[in-house]
Order: sequence, then structure tokens, then C-alpha cells
Amino acid sequence: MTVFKTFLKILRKNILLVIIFSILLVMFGALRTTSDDKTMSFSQVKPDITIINEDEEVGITKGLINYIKDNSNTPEIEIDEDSLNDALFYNDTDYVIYIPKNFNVDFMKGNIDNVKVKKGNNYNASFAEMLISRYLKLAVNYRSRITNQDELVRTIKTSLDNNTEIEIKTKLDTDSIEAAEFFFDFESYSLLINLIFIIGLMLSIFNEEKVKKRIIISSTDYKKNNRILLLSNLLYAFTLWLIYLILGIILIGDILWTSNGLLFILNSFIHLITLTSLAFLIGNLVKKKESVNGITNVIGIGTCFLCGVFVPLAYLPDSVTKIGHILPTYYYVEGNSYIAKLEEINMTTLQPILINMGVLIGSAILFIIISNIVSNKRRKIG
Amino acid sequence: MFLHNFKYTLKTLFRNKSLLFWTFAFPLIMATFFNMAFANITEDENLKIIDIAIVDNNEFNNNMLYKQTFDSLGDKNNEDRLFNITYTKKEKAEILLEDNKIDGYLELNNNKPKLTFQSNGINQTVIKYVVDEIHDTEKLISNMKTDLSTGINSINNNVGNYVSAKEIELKNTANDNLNYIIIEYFTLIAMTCLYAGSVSMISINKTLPYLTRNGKRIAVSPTKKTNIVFSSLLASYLVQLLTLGLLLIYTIGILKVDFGNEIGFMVLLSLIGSLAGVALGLFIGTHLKSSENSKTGIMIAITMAGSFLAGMMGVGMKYQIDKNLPLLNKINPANMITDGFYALYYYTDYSRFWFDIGSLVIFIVVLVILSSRKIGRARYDSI
Repeated sequence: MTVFKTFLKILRKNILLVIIFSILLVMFGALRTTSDDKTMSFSQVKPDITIINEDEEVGITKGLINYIKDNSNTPEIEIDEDSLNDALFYNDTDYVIYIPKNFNVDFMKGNIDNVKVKKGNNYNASFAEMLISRYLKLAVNYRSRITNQDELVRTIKTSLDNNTEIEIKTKLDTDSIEAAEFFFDFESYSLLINLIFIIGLMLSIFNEEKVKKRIIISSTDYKKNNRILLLSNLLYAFTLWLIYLILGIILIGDILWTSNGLLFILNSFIHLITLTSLAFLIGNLVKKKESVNGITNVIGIGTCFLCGVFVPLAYLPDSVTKIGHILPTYYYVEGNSYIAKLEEINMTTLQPILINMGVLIGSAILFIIISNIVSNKRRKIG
Repeated sequence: MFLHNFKYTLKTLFRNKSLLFWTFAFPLIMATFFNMAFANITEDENLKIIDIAIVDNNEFNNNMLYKQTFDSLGDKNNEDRLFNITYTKKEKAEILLEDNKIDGYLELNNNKPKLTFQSNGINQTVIKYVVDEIHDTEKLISNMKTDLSTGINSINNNVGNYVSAKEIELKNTANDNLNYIIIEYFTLIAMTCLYAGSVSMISINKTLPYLTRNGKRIAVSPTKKTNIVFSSLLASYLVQLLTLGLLLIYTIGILKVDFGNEIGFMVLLSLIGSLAGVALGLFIGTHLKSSENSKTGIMIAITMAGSFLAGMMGVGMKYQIDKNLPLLNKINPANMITDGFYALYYYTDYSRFWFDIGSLVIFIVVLVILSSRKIGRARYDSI
């Protein structure tokens, strides 16, 4: 009981840190909560385009503006140049188009040089450019034949009005699954920091020479002490995981009860075992409790940067993912990405997921063996 | 006495291993991780080459408009190449789609296009747009009441060009420096500047009678307090400049981060930012009457919260706070520093930069005045 009480005391003292990292998880998880729209039909991605119109909203100007509004989101931004520049930099808008005075008249005369744009530095900006260019190209091509602006706008509209047949294969609710994947990926950061910090701190305190000497000469069996220590840490890890799971259920919802969702939960549980054994190993290796904080941050942040938690695996350079391969969290995150794409469950589709889970379990066993070797060596005090 | 205290403060600071880790090593480690993880992001944000398949049936091969357009957009020598195309049978295309090797495939049936996607997304939207544009062209040609073949001839110089976005070029007046990931590095420098607070606080704690024996001895000695405080702060500032210099040399020289061309102003901002950190440490050190540990905790909490609001854990945070709670970021020293760097990087005029410098100077002056009043008034009957 004394050991367990000490554990609770240390936890209470550092509870703020546990809460902060849990709040971070909730904040980031909530960022990705999905809309209720769960149609499986095609829905096009809409870029954010800001229109600064100085012309009268008639004729071709009106046609262009309506077309942009139909095919994009128009974010609310204050119309001063600095706000627009900031919005463009931070991707609050992807594209700004400035329609000058007399555009509708000048356009018919063949002049579009005075239309200015500001293009952001992202994928959507290039798409926005493509979208506007499509309208203007048609307009330029029809302009030589049709001189009446209203008729021109009508003709363009009919030309644009086409229904390419599109079939969407997936039966998955991809939006919700992506939200779940994001949540579980990010959960590894909160778990990693909270487990390594608390368990590391706990073990380093119990491993302090003075404390250790006192435990050895006391009447209690040191093996029993170690067992209670182990159980307290496991209890802490499991409780934390359970709390995060409940948070996940609140934030993500029903998708967790599908086969994909249950696989996410299973993967996260196996990862928890790996992380707990890693925390044990680190706790056994650390000599001074002052260094636990630094080690936790370097390992936590480093792992999450290299394993695709902070930046998706697809965006990481190959050299980084290669380094990531030596860390267990990489296999967890990769496993999550396989689960997110899992359409039907059979041995072939499950194989990559099971392999990754196997790597996680293997790492856990390896960490436990090394921990034992280290603690055995440390038992002898000179 | 000034030199004596200066020398011993330096020695104390350099012997504090935990402080050395957080001020020297941690920013370098973070910069390394940023560099590894963000290297590909901005390059990847422009239109990528999209993997698609086309069902290679007679209808497709006989439809010149579709064939020429996709040949051109999939041509490896075309600068504006948009697609990596696999021409194959429908069954193979299905398998490629299932295995996520392609984003979608196109099939022509009765001269009507049909697109099949696994799921929704930006790549799928782009594919749809290209097919829609070819459709536009078909309508354009028939609307102009010309024969389809002459229609094609009239634009057949490069049908692909017609569909690609190059033909209409609007004048782009946006600044070239649009790499928002750079903000992460700016917040890192800002955080390092504010770490000067921890350094100066540790050196100030050493002179406080209620915290250390050393402080008690100083209090009863005939030495002028300003001498002691000033020499401690100067030593902290020197340690801080070493940290900062190391970080700048590492990020610019080794990691080759492109901070823009205003290196001189950047250094000026870092110097003033570090001074703000020193002032913050002085203020907390003198105003809080608690243990060294809790002071350090509060100092780190302020630094981290400030860096968080300035965009360290997600660049969008800075923008959202600037937009919705501007006052909060106007009094946040981490943001004043980050914003100054941002102004230098992105804006061509310097007004925003000087505003940030001005804010930092006011911040420093206010904290130094408040702290010196506190130090001057401290009197002990017994301790």
C-alpha cells in the first residue's frame, strides 16, 4: 500500500501535466469532428476564393462572380490589404481575385490584363486557378461570336452545365474514419508523454540509491514492492487509455462501433502495452529524476515527428520515414492508416495490420527483456 | 564586485545541467525535428501528378479530343503534366483502384465519360474538372456550329494546352514568400528568446535573501544592489546570446532554413527579444515570493503558453488569435517576436516590424521599472 500511495502522491503532484496533454488531445481531436453529411455520392472539394469586385455586378462580371461563388467557399475576411495578405499566408483563403472597374466592358473589348490575383502556396490555390481559368477560357472563346453579355453568360452556363457520370466505390464513411484515424494517431502523443513522464519519474524515484537501500534493508519483500510498482503503473496506463477512449467516443461517435473503429481501438490498446513497456525501460535507465522531463520531451516530440503523428506519413521525406521504421509508434500509425482504408475484412486485407500489431508486441517484449537486464544489473549497490 | 559577481553568475549558470539542456540543446533538437518533418510539405502543396487509369477501348482511341488531351496531360516531357496515366483494361483499372494505386479511372461509353473513384478528395475533383473541361470544349465546338473535325483542327495545335490552366494567365501579385511552415521556426526562436527568462531568473534567485544563503550574505554586504542585479542580468544575457547564436547558426548554416533576406534585422529582433526574456525572468524572479521550483514552473508555463498562442503547435493558432483576439497576441512577447519575424519575411514595408520592436521595448521598459521598484523597496528586519 505504501508503494501505491507514493505512486498516487507523485501522480497528484504532476496531474497538471497529465491534464494539459489530455486537453491537447481533446482540442486536436475536436478540430477534426465531422459534419453530419454522410452521403456516399461525389462531392467536389471547394477551394476558398476571395472576390474583390470594383466593377458593377452586371453581365460577364456577374456571371463570373456567380460561377466562383457556386464552386468555392468565400471566406469572411476583412477587406483591407494586410488582412487579405495574412489570410493568404495562413491559408485562410487560397486565392484572391481582384475584378477591376469596367471589367465587363473591357473584357468584351478583349482586355483582361487588368484582372489581378493573389495565389496562395497550396494545392487548393492551384485548383482555384484552374477553376477560374476554365470560366475565362470559355468566355474568351465565345466572345468573338457572342457580343451580348447576358447571352454570353447564358451560353457559358450551358457549356459548364455537364453531368459527367461519377461512381464512388467506397462503402466507408471516409470523413468519420479519417477523423478517427487522426484522433488515434494524436492519442499516441498524449499517451507517450504522460506514460514516459509519470512512469519514468516514479521508477527513477524508487531507483534512487538512498530509497533503494532503504527498501532492501526493510522487512518488506523487494519483489513484492516491485510487483506493486508494476501493477500501479499498469493501472495508471490502462486508466489513462480508458479515459482517452471515452473522450474518443464522445468526440468521434458511432464510427468506433464499426469493424474499422474496433480495429482502431485494438491497435491503440496494443500500442499502449508497447508504450508502457518503453516507459518502464526508460524509467529503469534514467538515473536522476531531474532528467525525466527532458528525456520525455525529446522522445515524445521526436517520435511523433518521425512517425507521422504531427505530419502525416505521406508528407514525410523518405529519409525520415526510414528512421521512423526503428520506432514502434511508426507501425502503430501505419497500422491506423491501413485500418482507415479497410473496405472488407478477410485474411488478405487484415495481413498488413496484423503484421504491424505483431511488430508492436515484439517491441514490447524486447523492451521488457532489456528492462529486466538493466534492473538486474542495477540491483547490486556498491 | 561587478566583475566578481558577473564571473560567478556565469560559472553557476554553466554548471546548471538542466538549464543547459533546455536553453542550448532543446531548441536545436526541436529545429532538427522541424527540419526533418517539414522538408517536403511546401513542395507537396502545389498540384501533384495524379495517378489515374484510362480504360483503353476503341471508343477512347477513336475520340481525338479525349485522346489528345490526356496524351498531352500525361506526357512526361510536358512541363504542365498533370497525370500519370495507365492505359489498361477495365478489370485491371478496378484492381488498381482497389489497391489505392490510382485515384480514379476514366471510361468512355457511347462517347460519354464515366469516372470511377474510390472516395472523394481534391485529386478526384481535379480529375472531374479536366473531364468537364473536355466536355466544355465539345460543347464549344458544337455551339459554334462547326464540324467536329474542323473544330478539332482549329484548336488541335495542342488540345491539352486548351484544357490545362496555362492559357489564361492572370497577373499574380502575391508575395513569393508564402511558406507558412517558417512560422514554426520563428516561434522556436521566440521560445528560445523567452528561455532567457529562466536563465535570468536563476541568476536573480541567487541574489534574493529569502531564497538563498548567498542572497542573505549579499543583503548584509555593503555592495550596491544595482551592481549585483545588473551584473547577474548581464551574465544571463551573455549566456542567452550564446544560445541564440548557436540556434541561428545551426538553422541558417546547417539546416539551410531560408529566413528571407533580412538577416540583419532578424538579429536585431532576436537581441531585443532576448532582452524581453531577461526582463520577464527578472520580473517573475522579483515579484513572486515562492520557491525556486514553482517560479521555474510558472516561467516555463508562461513561455510555453506564449509560444502556443504564437503558433508553435500549429501555425493556424497564431492567425486565429491575431484575427479573433488581437489584444491577447499584442501583449504576448512570444508573438511580438514571432510577428516581427513574420513581418520581415512576408511584408515589404517595415511598419509592422517596427511596431513589434516598439511593443517589445515597451514590454521590457515596463517590466524593468516594476522590478527595480520591487528590488529597491525590499527591506528585511530579520530573515
